[in-house]
Amino acid sequence: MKSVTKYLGNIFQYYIVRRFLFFVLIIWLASTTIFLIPRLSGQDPVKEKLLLEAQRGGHMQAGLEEMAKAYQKKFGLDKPLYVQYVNYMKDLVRFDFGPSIAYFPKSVNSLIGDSVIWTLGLLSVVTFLAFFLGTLAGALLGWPRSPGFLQYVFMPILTLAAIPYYLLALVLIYIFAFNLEWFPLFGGYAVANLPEWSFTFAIEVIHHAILPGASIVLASLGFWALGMRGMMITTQGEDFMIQAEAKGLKGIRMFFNYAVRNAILPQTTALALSLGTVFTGSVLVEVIFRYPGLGNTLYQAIRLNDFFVIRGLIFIVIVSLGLATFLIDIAYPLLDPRVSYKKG
Amino acid sequence: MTSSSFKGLRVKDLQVYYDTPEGVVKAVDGISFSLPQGKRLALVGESGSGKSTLSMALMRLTRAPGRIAGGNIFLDEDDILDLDVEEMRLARLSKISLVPQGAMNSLNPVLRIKDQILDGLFDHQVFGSKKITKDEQLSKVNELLSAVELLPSVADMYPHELSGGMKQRVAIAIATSMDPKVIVADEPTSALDVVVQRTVMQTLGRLQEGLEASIVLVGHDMGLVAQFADFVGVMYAGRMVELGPVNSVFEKPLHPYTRLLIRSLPTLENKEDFVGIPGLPPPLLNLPPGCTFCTRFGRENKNTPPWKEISKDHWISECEVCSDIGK
Ligand SMILES: Nc1ncnc2c1ncn2[C@@H]1O[C@H](COP(=O)(O)OP(=O)(O)OP(=O)(O)O)[C@@H](O)[C@H]1O
Ligand SMILES: [Mg+2]
Repeated sequence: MKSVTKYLGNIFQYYIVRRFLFFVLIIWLASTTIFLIPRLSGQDPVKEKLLLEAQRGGHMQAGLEEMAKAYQKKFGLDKPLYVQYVNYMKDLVRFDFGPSIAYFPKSVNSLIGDSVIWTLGLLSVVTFLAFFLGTLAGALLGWPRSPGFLQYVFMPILTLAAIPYYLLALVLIYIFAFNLEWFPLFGGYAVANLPEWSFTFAIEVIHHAILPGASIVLASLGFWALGMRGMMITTQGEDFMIQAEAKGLKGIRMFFNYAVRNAILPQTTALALSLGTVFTGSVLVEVIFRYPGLGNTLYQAIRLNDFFVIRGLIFIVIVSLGLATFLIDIAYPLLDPRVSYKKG
Repeated sequence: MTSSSFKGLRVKDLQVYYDTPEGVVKAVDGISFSLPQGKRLALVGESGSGKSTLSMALMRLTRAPGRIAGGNIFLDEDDILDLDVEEMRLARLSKISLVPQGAMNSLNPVLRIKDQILDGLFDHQVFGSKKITKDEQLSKVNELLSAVELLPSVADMYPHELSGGMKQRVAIAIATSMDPKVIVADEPTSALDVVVQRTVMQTLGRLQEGLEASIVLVGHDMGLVAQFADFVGVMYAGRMVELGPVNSVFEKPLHPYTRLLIRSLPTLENKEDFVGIPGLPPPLLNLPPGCTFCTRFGRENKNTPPWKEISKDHWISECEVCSDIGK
């Protein structure tokens, strides 16, 4: 018995190790690509930034070259490519993305650090909520024994899926913030307050999060519901559903343990992928609501041509996507016994 | 009605229709038979003759576009077509159960075998309202598994870890888990190899005998049918054309279709020149009344042949126009 568990343990570890190596490989390939592409493009973010400043502030064109050189040295861009690459990789491993160009002495890390909690908080909750509600709605819609009125309740909500979430956000702002004044127009918390850990502040944060959250939930509900409904209908046709009925199972058991349990498998893969894009998935909503999250930071960085911030954010997206796939790879055999830790 | 104390399965003038856009398909068109408790009836007939439609209707599992258009299905005294939905649910597994087709994926791929055996029992309150321990549940599972000659270790496995024969044994264990009165088995051994087929059928037969259940077996393999069944019902184009004790039907087939069917069986002697049945069965869509077998041979009998008991328990649908074919 002991040797059996040990054997299984080995296989288990083997699978996880392989998945992990795969994860590392993806991150490495992606970060190398981020390193190479700007260099292939031949553009120089520092110089461009300075040029922009010069045009704005009327700096002398003459001193620019020297200034650029100075910055290049500071950012290590004057060294040979392979040295840059090694340094870049060293920094990445330490999660050090260097200084911001736009807000120079400030580091990319602190810029990202300030905003990451907002996005993570809002979007992870919202993504799970949309997944849960949408999947449930889709399961009920795809179940022939559901009461008929559900069609009339859910179908209008599902049509919201056809509306882009940023348009939905504008409509929600107009109705609930501008006209009804139930919710604030923008921000992650009231401007007068400073972030702190207190109950009233938490309530305030939630109050601010409802409209941006709702626009994302409403817009993505349909995606989850339609996918789930389709899978439920496919599952109805499976032989084991007929057999479940022939066994005289209760409706509720057939619904959860037989239909939903099988139909949800593809949904979970999609969930992992959408969790991977949590950080930058809803840039426009954050911009519209001026939400102090990563999406907003990315938007500002693009606007200000802040190359290192953009690079840091892209790296975060890649790591989180990779991590999400890695986690789903590990969790999936628990959901679907046909996918075992031995193979694949 | 016949004797009201009849024990077993009694089907009377059963009609199952499919409503298709092109018209009504009468897949089961007025079938009647009685199967006493503990006896085995085998249904044979060409593909599309309505065997599966009939067996699903016996479970009252006919799905749209199909519907049970008329008739009765008596289990002992009660017509299961009169039961309400919840009563019918409770009747399934406990009074009438289904052994699925061997080629099907009838087990839930994400549940362990033991859970798929137990959930039916839970939903029929087999263990009553009292809380029973995991050990008691497992011992029930093991008892059912060993009855179908499977090892206790199968309980913790998933369907994809089992061979086709093992899966069918699990299906038989489930179908017999509540001592039903009738077992419906639609080609339970299709897609299994011949050796496994025989052992699985033996297991099914042994359990059915132990439970004194009646069994309705749909089978393609006439040899298997002849060995296994007490009665054989021959179906043709949605109707029963002949029904009788196996020996009587095989030795003295009365309906021309049965004669041709038996003659088309490959034997050691005639395996060289394989004789099929000439022509094709009529399309069941908007089928006109009359003898459907006559039309296959270019003859015509506008009257639907009567269902007659020629000798004891031996029935045929008797048509004078085509009765000479295959003599
Ligand atoms: N869902 C359906 N819609 C319309 N017609 C159907 C449907 N299912 C079955 N039929 C028709 O009902 C008739 C009987 O089909 P059934 O599956 O009962 O035959 P069978 O005797 O079991 O055949 P096989 O030996 O191939 O299993 C066929 O003519 C078929 O075309
Ligand atoms: Mg069939």
